[in-house]
Amino acid sequence: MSLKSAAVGLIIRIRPRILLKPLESAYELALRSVIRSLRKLDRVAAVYVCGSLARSAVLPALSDIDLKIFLRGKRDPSITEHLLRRLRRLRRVFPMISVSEEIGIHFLENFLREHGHYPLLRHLFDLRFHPRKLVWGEDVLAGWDLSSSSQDEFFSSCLWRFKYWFEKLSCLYGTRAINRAQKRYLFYKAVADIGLIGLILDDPRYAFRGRDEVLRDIQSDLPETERALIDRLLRERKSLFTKGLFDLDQAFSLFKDLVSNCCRKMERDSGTEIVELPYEFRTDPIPPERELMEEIEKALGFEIKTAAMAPTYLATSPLDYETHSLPAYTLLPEQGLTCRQLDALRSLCRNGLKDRISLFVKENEHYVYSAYSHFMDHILEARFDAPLAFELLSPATNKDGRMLTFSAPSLRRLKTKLAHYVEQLEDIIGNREIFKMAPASYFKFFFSALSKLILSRSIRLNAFHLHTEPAAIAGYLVSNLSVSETFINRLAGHAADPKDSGTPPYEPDFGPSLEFLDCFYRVVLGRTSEDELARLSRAEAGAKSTVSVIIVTKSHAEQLARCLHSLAQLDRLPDEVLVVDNDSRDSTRETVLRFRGPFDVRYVHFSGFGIGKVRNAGIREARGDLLVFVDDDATVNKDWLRNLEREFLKNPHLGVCGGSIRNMPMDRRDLAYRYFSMMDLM
Amino acid sequence: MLIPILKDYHQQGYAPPPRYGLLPKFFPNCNMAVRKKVFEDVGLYSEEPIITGEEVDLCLRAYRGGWDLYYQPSARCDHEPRAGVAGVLKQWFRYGYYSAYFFKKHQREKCSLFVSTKFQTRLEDYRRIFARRRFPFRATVFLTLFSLVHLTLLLAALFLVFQAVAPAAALFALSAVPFALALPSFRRTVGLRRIPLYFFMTYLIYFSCVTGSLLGGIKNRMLYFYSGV
Repeated sequence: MSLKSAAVGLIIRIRPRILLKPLESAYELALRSVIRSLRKLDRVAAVYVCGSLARSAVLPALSDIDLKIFLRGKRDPSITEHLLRRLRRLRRVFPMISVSEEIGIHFLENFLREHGHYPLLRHLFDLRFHPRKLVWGEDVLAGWDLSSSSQDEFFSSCLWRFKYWFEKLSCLYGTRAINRAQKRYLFYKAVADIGLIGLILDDPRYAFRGRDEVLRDIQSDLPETERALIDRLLRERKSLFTKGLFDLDQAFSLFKDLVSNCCRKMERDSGTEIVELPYEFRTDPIPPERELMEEIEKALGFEIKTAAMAPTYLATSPLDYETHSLPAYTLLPEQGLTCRQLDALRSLCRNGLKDRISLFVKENEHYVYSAYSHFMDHILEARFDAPLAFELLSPATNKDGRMLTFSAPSLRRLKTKLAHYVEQLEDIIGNREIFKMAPASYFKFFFSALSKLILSRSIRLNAFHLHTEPAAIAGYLVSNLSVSETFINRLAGHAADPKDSGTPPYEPDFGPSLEFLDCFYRVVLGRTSEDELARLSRAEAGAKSTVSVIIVTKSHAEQLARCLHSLAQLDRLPDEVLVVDNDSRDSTRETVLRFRGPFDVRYVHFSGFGIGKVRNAGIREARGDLLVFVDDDATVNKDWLRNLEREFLKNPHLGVCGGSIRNMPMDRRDLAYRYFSMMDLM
Repeated sequence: MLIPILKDYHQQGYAPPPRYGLLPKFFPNCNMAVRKKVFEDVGLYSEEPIITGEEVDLCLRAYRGGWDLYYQPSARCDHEPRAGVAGVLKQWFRYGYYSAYFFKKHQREKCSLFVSTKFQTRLEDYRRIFARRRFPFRATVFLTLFSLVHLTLLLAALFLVFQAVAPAAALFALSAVPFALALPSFRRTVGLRRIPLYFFMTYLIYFSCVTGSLLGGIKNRMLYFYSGV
């Protein structure tokens, strides 16, 4: 044991006021600076603290500051980013501010809409579970009735809580990101939490108050076996930070016992059948090798530190340990992941590191709608809970894509989940981040969304159809909804043979397929007739865009001719070419009129000063949807226009696309040329 | 406009948000495609009497209007660079002169100071170290290592003229800091043999760009200092 941890352990044990006082004031100061930083933002409505700080039971140097921030208006990734950036900056000074995982940023409008059918959220703000204290703003939660919830909702929250602890513990058990003392403390928290859930199934008075306090309170009333557990827990608690007595493996078995006890109890109370979760805990996880990490970082171009706290979107679930024999790592990138980075990560796992590493991101069909990016993880969090996933996937219930039997409570739960998912689909379709996904991930998402929609449609018709393969989904759509076969098979082809971005040429059908999904979603909700869906799929998949190339020129007749000739060599010819002549004094006009090529060249004369005015004259004359500007003294490559147009076809929100520019070779004796090549500026 | 560095200027992909809400990753107009809807949405090019830098303005407005910006290096074009010292001089004067308008139009803070501590300065290397909404006059100042060394030396010389030796010596010592920062990359890129070429061209560019930016600033009624290198 190092000297430092011994010292910390000693301090915590003896708790000398004189040492702890400054630490406590540091918490106060941290909280004040957070508020000072956040209240400048107009949209922040309220800031709450949760956890130990709200209970005024801060353990200096161990507790962190858990914040819940409520923002006015609708969900907006940019403001979330902004907030997190501010908090990260503060975290440099005050390390106790938790940023990555525990922080909750909620948007009032979405929150109000969602919390009606989202029991978990209700429990998250249930006073009994999470003591909270308003530190700034108006008390937005005061008026809401959050405490009343049905038994069903309560159970599902408890299940979620189990899953949460399982994931967290399994991810953090093998990492070196936190030390043993921290791990022990984490286990203590987990065991106590799960134990308390078990207790409140009998008596709700004892929900998440202070752990020690409640445990001591109830110790005497418990049956023998559980009393022994709690006894041991309290005993170990004392030596938690100083001695290495707390055996992690034993702690985990204790934890498992508690979970199964709770499951039994829940089964007894509700009459529901809860499938035992076959969690297999890896006791020998291998920490990531440094070279491997470096390879990944190099390939992706961003920095990854090994997980300190596993964020939900990269946490490998214990469910995956069954299927993957390779070591699974949890990565925590410095600033969250964008879609593209996540896609890059995925393709890296698929290709470069295939036999060295298992998937980073869960792709199990039913279990996961984890985020495609951290912007989207809120809306994609419609997860199926674990027992349900088992039931869905077990061969007894799912034969040849048709579900034969299904227990009544599970069906109810499935319906709720599906309804929730379908409702969230609107958000997903409306989110423009989706256009930035790589085709492989996009079509994966597309077909899993279709399978959910088919499932909810068939449940309404009292038949269970669960298809997971794109080909099977296509078959179902063609036979039952008379969708155009060529259209859906083409999409299924994309999914089966995804060409990654960066290897042109490919023509992803993002736009038409998303329109199709949108239409199907409205069909499932009963807003549109099924004929509409068939008609849409038969319609030609997207019209071609028309391209105008605009060349602004002034007294560069020779270069202009060269430029026009290079345009004539393109493999995707422009629909029109406009030459805007700004008072040339040479033979520009004649050059343009003399030019004969495979496209029309129009000559526009403009006199006046200011490049903006000249370009605007060209824009007003242009007839295309896409305006491409090129200089008169440049020549273009053969695939230039195709590469530019492809990006616009892919993403309807793309406004401006730039291409690369290389300088033509010049006279080597030219001073300017030599200078710029020396400075590597060309 | 600001830094006409074309090599490896961008990585393929979507452009990040403008830094400080002001400095966007822009695409040179030499090779750029724009959806026509963008012009309908955010307006046409600015009709000010400028002859360079209109694309930065457009990229920033498009980004603020909610459009995505993408850089696709495989769409390549070859451009004929400006020949001769005189051409480069004229071009850098224009970069300085016409970029003042952009900051007058888009900068919300009345005064801001950007500093770059890289030897080969690109737009993304600038850090804003000072910004105020309220200020007696409108000012935008870009400082690089090169200008920092020379400004401190100039101040030291001023003190010497008034025979205040101690502050002059202090400033002289202070000027060693940016000089020391630049030295490793200077030795790597320039080396001994090309020192005359480096200083000749750098002073020319510096002079033309600073003159251009100061004049452009006067025209737009602001203090604008941009040295380019």
